[in-house]
Amino acid sequence: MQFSHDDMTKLARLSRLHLNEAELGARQKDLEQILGYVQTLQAIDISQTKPMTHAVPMELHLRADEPKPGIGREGLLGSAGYEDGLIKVPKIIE
Amino acid sequence: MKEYEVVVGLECHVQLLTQSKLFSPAVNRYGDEPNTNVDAVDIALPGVLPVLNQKAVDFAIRLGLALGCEIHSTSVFARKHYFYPDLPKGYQISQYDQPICGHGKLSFQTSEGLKTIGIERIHIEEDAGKNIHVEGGNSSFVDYNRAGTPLLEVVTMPDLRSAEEAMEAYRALRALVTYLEICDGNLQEGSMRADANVSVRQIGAEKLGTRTETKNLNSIKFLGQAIEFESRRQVLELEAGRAINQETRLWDSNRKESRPLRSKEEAHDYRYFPDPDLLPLTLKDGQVEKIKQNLPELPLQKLKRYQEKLGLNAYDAGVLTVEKNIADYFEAALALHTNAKAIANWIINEMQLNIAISAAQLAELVKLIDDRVISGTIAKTVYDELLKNPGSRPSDIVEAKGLKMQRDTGALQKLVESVCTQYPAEVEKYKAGKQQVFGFLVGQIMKLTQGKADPVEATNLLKQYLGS
Repeated sequence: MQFSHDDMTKLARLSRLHLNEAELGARQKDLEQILGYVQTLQAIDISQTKPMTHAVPMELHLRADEPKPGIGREGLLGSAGYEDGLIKVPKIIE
Repeated sequence: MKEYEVVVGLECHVQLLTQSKLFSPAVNRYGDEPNTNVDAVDIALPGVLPVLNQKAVDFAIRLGLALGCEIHSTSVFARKHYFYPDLPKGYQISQYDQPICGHGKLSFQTSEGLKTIGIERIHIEEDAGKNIHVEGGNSSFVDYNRAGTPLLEVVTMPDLRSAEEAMEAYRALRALVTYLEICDGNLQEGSMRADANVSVRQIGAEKLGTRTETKNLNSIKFLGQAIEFESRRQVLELEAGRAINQETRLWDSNRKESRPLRSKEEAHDYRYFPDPDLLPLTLKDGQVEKIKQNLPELPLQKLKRYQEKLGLNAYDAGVLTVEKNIADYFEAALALHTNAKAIANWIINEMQLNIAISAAQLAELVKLIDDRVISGTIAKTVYDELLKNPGSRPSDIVEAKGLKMQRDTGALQKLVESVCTQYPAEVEKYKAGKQQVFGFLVGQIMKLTQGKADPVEATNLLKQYLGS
């Protein structure tokens, strides 16, 4: 599987990664290797296998609707910039 | 200009009335101090795992059944990726190609009768935090209390043909979720929000036009205005020979117009994939059946019953069933006094749907009229007294204020005679054939008794007197 330079810049943009040309080239090789491995898997015949989203035959664990105290405001704000109890982020341009 | 048809489909977000969030045990409540109802899961601290709220699943099934949807015994949660400060994980947990509910339908009343539209799907997803934008400065602010709130997204087929119809459909959905008690239906607080997919095509055309999506319509009025605006804009574009761009637009309720929000194509690349943190959701045997058995009477069923069993007209039945609390109130009063038409009339016309007295007080008030203890006019006086003295009983007010209807024939006869003596000119006019004067004379009798004279009796006596 080959990646074009355009594919790589698009992926970088979607991932919000600022990569220079050298880094783009290196990541391109990584991705080609990963997809090369997937191509190996594609050799397996799965025409008789039902599509699955998970490999383990387990059921989802559910939780009763019971509220519990969370980490609280201090726990949250301690890890971010804030003002008047609100998280402060770079201006969202609209 | 050519004739165009508007085609609308809605995506409605319904906030669920669970105690805790969709994937964390943090409190799910509107209006608390910012950033107080947060758990490590809601703000995506490293190493945390989401655990699904059972109640949210039950609520999704409830709505699915009420909309006649296929309920899928297995559904899958997926990650929808986008970067925004209100979304700490960098993805929203939603459902994509395997939602919990498939095709169903929604029926609602329109000015042209009952209309039924298709429901494409209902899926479960989490809400994001709330961004607070301020004028100037270099910062925006975020409140994560809403992050992780359980939502159902209801997607309709493009079966709506006008802004009016879309508004009726949205009203019907709101009634439904409040009847089901899965959402409080409070639009001011954002408990329901809609996105409108709008396109236009020439009448008779088979193919759908290019659609746009107008986002975040948080009132029924804005939904209607946004569809009107967008359909008019598209027609003007087409008439000017321009093509419609498939784009997302944001409604500006102050300027009553929308503008394109995201134009970059890649912004739509959400890179959906199944969430590895959550196994497929498998419903238990009998789970759907159990919920089905506990479904309440739904708005349209109620509407039909009010007309067929209680003899109300379509309008009154419609008005009483739009809001669950009004219907509940009507039925509580009806349980105490069985005159459905009179109670409906009081709730709709006298009270203007504003529930200010208890159902027991209303039932007693209507009973006093029906038992001819007071007249309809006096009942309004009693009602005003009830508003001033919330805890009091209508019959006590009637007693204390001496408002009982005057039905003593002898006393009424004297009043008739004295009024006719006082207005000889009017009596002459009546006798000369001027019927309208009769009302004036009855009015005088009412005035002398402060409205307490039995109107039926007074009318009879006056007729007799004038006829003799």
